[in-house]
Amino acid sequence: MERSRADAYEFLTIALEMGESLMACGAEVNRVEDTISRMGFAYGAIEMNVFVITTSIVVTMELSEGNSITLTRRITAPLSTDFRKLARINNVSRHFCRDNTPLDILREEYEKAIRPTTKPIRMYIGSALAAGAFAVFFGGNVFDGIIAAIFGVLICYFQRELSPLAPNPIVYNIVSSFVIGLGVCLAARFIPGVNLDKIMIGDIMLLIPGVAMTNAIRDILVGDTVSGTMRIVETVMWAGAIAAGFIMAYWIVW
Amino acid sequence: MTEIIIQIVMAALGSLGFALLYRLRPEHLPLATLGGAVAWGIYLLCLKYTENIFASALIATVFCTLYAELFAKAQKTPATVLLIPSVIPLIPGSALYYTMSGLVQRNLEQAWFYARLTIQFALAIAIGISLVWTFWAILFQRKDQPQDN
Repeated sequence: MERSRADAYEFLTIALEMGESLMACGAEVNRVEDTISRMGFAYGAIEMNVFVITTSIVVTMELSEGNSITLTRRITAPLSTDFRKLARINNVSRHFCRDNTPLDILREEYEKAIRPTTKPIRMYIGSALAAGAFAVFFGGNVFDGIIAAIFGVLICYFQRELSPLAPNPIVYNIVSSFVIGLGVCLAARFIPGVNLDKIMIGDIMLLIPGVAMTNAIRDILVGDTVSGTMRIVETVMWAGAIAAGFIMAYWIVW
Repeated sequence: MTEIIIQIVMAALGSLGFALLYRLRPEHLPLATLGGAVAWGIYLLCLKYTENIFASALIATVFCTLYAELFAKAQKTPATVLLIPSVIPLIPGSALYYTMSGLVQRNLEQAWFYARLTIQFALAIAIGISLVWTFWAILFQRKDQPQDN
């Protein structure tokens, strides 16, 4: 099928938007590259060159000999892991690759896929549960678990309401871990029988970019060295910011 | 023994918490919870026989990745959806914390000990995932690659 340039341009714009959304939901770099490239071939491109790093996407799509389009997208959307959205966008791309759906339908399906997925209350419950369970998991008692869970709710609130306002993740991590650290230290100081370290660990599980760090090493091992190194540097700086926030809180209280 | 049971139950609840946080679909929550419990169970079992943290974490991760990939094949969803919540109990949160607190208290010996532990876990998880992915790609990917790629 012969495609017009305008049509191809529109297609590639949607593909890039889908790539950006995938990245923001917590997809791996090679999944984003793979998705855009498969969609391009399904569309009818003879050659797809896709380069993705965590902050940008570059695509050159060759429609026919000597007729190619290049688009670049800077990714600024903050990472907000949402696996339901990830699976939905993935389904949209599968559907497109299988049936080569018209672009207006692709656009419609994509807009439907990126609608908000769950009620916030589930995330608050998840956050409390995770922090509480890991405080006990790493050797804390029941009270440690309960206090960690309470601060888990606060962390979730910060992540939802505060992180979009912060100028960058480092500032946000310093501020939020300082406030959380202050709360945890005060609780451990004045409530008898609770362990500061266990509560901290439970809450740190929510804050540390453990998943991002693992993803980063994995990116490097599968050959996406550039994005892997970028992400490692990012995560080490975030971890440092979290440590700095906690240390300040610790020094103030003790 | 009670300690082991508490750990496994808490690993399961922790995985469930993260599954909620990462907005998994409700019907996938039990699978994620089970994944976390089994991951930690396998880790403890391997640790008992090998006494090697790195190898045990690696084996547990390999299990999680296979579990997630099989699920992905059956459900036609990305494997990450189940992989990340299941692998969460292996993420070295406490080791990282004690590294930090060692540094703050100028106890460099402690910091170095836990830093090594943190790196061991992180490497074991990453290598475990990559190993399975590579074999999985060799086994299944070839036939659905687009065109002459």
